[in-house]
Amino acid sequence: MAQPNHFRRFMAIWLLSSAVITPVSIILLAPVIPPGNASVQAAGHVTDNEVLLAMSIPVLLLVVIYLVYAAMYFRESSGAVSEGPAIRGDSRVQIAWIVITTALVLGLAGYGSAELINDGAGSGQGPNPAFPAAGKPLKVQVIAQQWMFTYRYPSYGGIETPHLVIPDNQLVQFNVTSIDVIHSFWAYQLGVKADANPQQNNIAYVTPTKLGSFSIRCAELCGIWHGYMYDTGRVVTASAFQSWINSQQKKFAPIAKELPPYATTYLPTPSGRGT
Amino acid sequence: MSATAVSAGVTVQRPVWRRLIGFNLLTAVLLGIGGYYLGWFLGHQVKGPSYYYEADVDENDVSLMLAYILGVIGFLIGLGFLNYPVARMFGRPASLREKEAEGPSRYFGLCTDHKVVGMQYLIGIGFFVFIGALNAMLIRVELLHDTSTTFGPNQYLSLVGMHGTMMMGMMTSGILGPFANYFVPLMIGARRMAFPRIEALTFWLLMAAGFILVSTVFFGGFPTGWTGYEPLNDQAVMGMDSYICFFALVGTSMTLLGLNMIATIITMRAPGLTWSRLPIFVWSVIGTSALMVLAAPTLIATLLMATFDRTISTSFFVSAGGGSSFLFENLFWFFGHPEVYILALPGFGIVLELLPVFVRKPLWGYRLGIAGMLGVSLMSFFVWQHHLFVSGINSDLRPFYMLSTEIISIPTGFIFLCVMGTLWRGRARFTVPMLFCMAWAFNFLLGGLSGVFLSDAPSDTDTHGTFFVMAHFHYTIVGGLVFTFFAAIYYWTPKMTGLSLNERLAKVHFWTMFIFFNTTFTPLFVLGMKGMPRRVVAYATNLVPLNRWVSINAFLLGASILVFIFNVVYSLVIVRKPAEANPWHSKSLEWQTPTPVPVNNFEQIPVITSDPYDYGEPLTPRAEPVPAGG
Amino acid sequence: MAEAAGSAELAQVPAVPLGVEIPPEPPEVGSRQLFLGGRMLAGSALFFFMAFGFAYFYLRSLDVEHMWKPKGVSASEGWGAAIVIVLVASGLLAVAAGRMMGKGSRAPQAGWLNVALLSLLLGLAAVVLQCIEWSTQSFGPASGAYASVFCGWTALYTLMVLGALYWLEIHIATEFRARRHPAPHSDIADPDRLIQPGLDAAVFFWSFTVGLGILAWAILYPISS
Ligand code: HEA
Ligand code: HEA
Ligand code: CUA
Ligand SMILES: [Cu+2]
Repeated sequence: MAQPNHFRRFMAIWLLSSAVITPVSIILLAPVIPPGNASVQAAGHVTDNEVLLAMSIPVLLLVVIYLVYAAMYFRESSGAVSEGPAIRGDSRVQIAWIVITTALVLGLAGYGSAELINDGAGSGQGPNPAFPAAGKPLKVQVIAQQWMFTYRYPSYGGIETPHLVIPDNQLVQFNVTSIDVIHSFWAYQLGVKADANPQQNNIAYVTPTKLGSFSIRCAELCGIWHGYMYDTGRVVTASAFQSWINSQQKKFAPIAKELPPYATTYLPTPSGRGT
Repeated sequence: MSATAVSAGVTVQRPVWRRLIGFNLLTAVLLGIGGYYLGWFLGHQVKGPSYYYEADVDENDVSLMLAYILGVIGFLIGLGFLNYPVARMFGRPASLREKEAEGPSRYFGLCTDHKVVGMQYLIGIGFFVFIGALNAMLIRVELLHDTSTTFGPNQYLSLVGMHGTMMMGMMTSGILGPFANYFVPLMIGARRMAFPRIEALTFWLLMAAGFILVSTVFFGGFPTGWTGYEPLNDQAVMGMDSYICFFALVGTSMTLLGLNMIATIITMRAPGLTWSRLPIFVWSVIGTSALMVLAAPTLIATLLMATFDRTISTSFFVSAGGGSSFLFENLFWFFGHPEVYILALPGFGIVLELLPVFVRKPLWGYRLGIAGMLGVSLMSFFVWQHHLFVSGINSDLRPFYMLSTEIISIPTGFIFLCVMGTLWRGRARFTVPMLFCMAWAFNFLLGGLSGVFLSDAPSDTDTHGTFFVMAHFHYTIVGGLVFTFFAAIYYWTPKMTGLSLNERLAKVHFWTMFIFFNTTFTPLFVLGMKGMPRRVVAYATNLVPLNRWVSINAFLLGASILVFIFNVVYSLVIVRKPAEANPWHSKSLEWQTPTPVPVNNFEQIPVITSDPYDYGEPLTPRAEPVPAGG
Repeated sequence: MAEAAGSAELAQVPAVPLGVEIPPEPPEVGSRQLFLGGRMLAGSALFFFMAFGFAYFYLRSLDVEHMWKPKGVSASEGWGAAIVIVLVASGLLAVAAGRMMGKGSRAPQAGWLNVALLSLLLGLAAVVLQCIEWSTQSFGPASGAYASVFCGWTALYTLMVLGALYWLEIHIATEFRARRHPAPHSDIADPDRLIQPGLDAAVFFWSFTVGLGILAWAILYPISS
């Protein structure tokens, strides 16, 4: 039987196509990979996704090309039952596979951890962040309740506003909490997501780098109107932020007196049904 | 318990009315209803009618809980499950009602024949999964529009919750229930399961659970999705109790199913069936069962805590009383993650079991496959916080959970290597079961790789709680489990029914399902990346076109299932073409028994001399050049 | 094809009609099944109560709203100790009964029966004590996190005790019945194979339950303050 050397042929096809398809698709996709570059953290996520793509496209191609190859060459086209070679394994292939996948996985985990340790990558880190971002942050408290977000600025007298405005190129520390059930504060373009838990403070860092608005969504099921719990925030220049916060201080001065003093958490309102 | 002393009594034909009295399904339903109202009544005696929210709604969790519990107990009594325990309590050896009944009626009651239970499971689970699929279709109807149109927000959430919970609850036993119950004893050369009554119990518990979950529509549904997060759970109306009760019963059923499987496989293998000759499907059953035995009790405990919170005002999860919502999240996912591998592992087993038959080669890398399955089972207990990356729980442990989650890819990769190695230089016949196995490899690969994206905490910050996650798990569950479920159906129907399914319709089913599955769920990755949150009725307008596309394809996917159902009705009810004895020329033990399989399976217990994969022509040293393998 | 998998005659096995008795497994298989079943059930129970143990330590470490254990919430050490002592005594007696029963076939002189009976009664006494404790305790399930764990745990643990005792009881009942109707007239064809392996597993499960009870006691009483 003049069998072609399937192993070499397949490897050649795979290596070649990976070498072409992986960089091409990453280059093509790079501009559209969410969440974009509206903040340092978001840009980090994009890089992260690129790394993941670079790892997974070859794996994807390996299996998919193999399946197609097998369907083309390793079939009994007559449909009759005929026996194949009784190969039960090959320890070299197995060892190579184990080594390579292990290396990939460790590499990925290492890279992801490095990314995370940098500044928490915009995700909620609980009350005592293990991976704080460097710099002096502007604190903004996000208070979630069924079914809206409100925001308090502790360094501006703890005023509470219904809108989120933050200055650009400034490290912002979101202190996310809830006064009833679990919600999740998700600023899509900024690459920030942190659950709002009752009686818990959840800190996330972000450094916005682009002026403009970003959408805010509740990302954890919180009851009937969860689907309508969204909002829009704005990133403005530092001076615009100053004037905005001053106007807010004036506007909400009467209400500010009624507010409970600023705290990291507030006593949850008793759950809806009582007992 | 296995020592059943059965007297083979002569059956006398009795009048119909007389046969309706006794331990059967009718009695069970009546007692179930009776128990339900008794519980309802008692609950109101204990707690009194209480009115919240709207004045015309009677919100009394105690009474609904009691109603469900007593209802289930009544149902089980009616079926005759208490006869044996009560008899033993008085020292009698076994109740006489336990023997295998005759005729079709044995499919409608307590039957301790594992083959009957397997068929019962297949039909029962199929029924409830169909309901789950209908829910999915309704979800897609609503998501045609970016605002609430067909359903109100509360109805939508109930639909999502019912869909997710029903599917998860039923599909956990989706392969173990029908196929492991039916075929594990046949594959290992046993005549029954280790605990036949428990085997029957697992099935009927599941059925009771299914109806309880459906009954949630009468109590306002539940707004929490399948995860049931606290404290929303505590706040929710009575429909939540249906969810709790459903999952607790499913958990009980799972625990017992797993326990029974392991005891059977360890103690009842035929002589000569050493561990290294065990069919790989049986190994996957072992892995799954171990997870079931250990993970499901945690779920039950968690749900009991939730019940206590809702009924007797404890505060496990309510922070005003010293509880914490984190506790629920941790406990739920400690169960929840093993649960997803309970879904995936039997699929691995089916694929590796079927491939050698159609490729006419031995299973490539048998030991590697086992290592993969057991590795996955073990690892799955150490990854649960990857569902909680942004929750603020133990955020300093995230690098660990990231690593452990990604490490699971390694044993999962073993399965892929086995698949590829088995295909290597095979003589594949692309019959329908084989096609479903190939599709598994493609779908699960996409699902698994998207899981790797999720396991990366920085990347998960964007995708958590979006349709990306949703696409991930539909790729792993529908693409991974449901496809192998159908592979198993097509593969084993000739054995289970003695009839063959129409090949042409089956191919139509496969191709439509494969194509529309992918066209439905691939765009969801994009949708998720673009910011489509889960469990919402209202979403951003720019996502409408993609969502419409997905919905339309989902309907087509649903239609492909109708092709399957048509095929079943057409081939098994109308045409009834007898199947060949061993249509796939399998060497596995179950195909060597006559069809229909006799009640005692084997007249004589066989002696096993090799593993079931000795296909293929012996290798002559020269013929095969060395680089053989994937 | 058939040769490969098993014996060649398999394919010619005549179909057996429905309703036919399946010959029981050999006794040693039955006993291994019960052995394994008992251990696995114990594993499940362990994970079940582990959830409560986790809740205990987790809520205790968080002490949300200082509601872990507000003033006035403390379980009575005396009752706790009484319950656990009775449980341990019962467990030890059960183990002793298992030993006296011996391996293989059950000893005809059967001193084990009385010991097992005593163990059963002590187990029930523990349940009664638990009920008394509930009715006298100063707090209810709604008084904070510790109270929640305490009430939830003791209630479910008591259910488990009842289950384990039931398992013990069926063997005692079978033995009584087998003695009342000795061999030829008995409806118990083979008491040996019904009692011995079953008792083995039941004793294991009961002693496991008692062990869990000791753990529960240690967590709920001495170290809770
Ligand atoms: C059958 C079910 C199933 C399976 C098998 C998996 C498998 C995996 N899952 Fe998935 N998952 C779910 C069902 C499943 N999941 C469900 C239901 C949810 C959501 C629950 C909810 O919130 O409602 C979820 C959610 C979920 C999350 C949380 C997302 C979030 O909410 O933020 C994460 C994060 O880490 C995750 C990761 C993974 C990983 C890494 C795997 C891995 O096991 C995948 C491994 C497989 C491969 C990687 C492919 C094959 C391997 C190779 C070809 C080898 C080479 C590969 C490499 C070296 C990478 N899953
Ligand atoms: C086993 C698990 C399973 C299965 C099979 C499916 C199948 C499908 N699911 Fe999903 N789904 C979940 C588990 C599953 N799902 C879970 C856990 C959630 C999360 C819920 C939550 O957020 O809490 C979810 C959520 C979910 C959503 C998100 C809702 C939201 O967040 O707003 C959507 C939306 O499109 C969806 C759609 C679908 C569709 C179109 C299918 C289609 O594939 C359906 C087509 C039907 C089938 C592929 C199976 C048909 C089989 C039979 C009928 C059996 C016949 C057999 C015999 C007769 C023997 N599902
Ligand atoms: Cu708030 Cu969802
Ligand atoms: Cu998981």
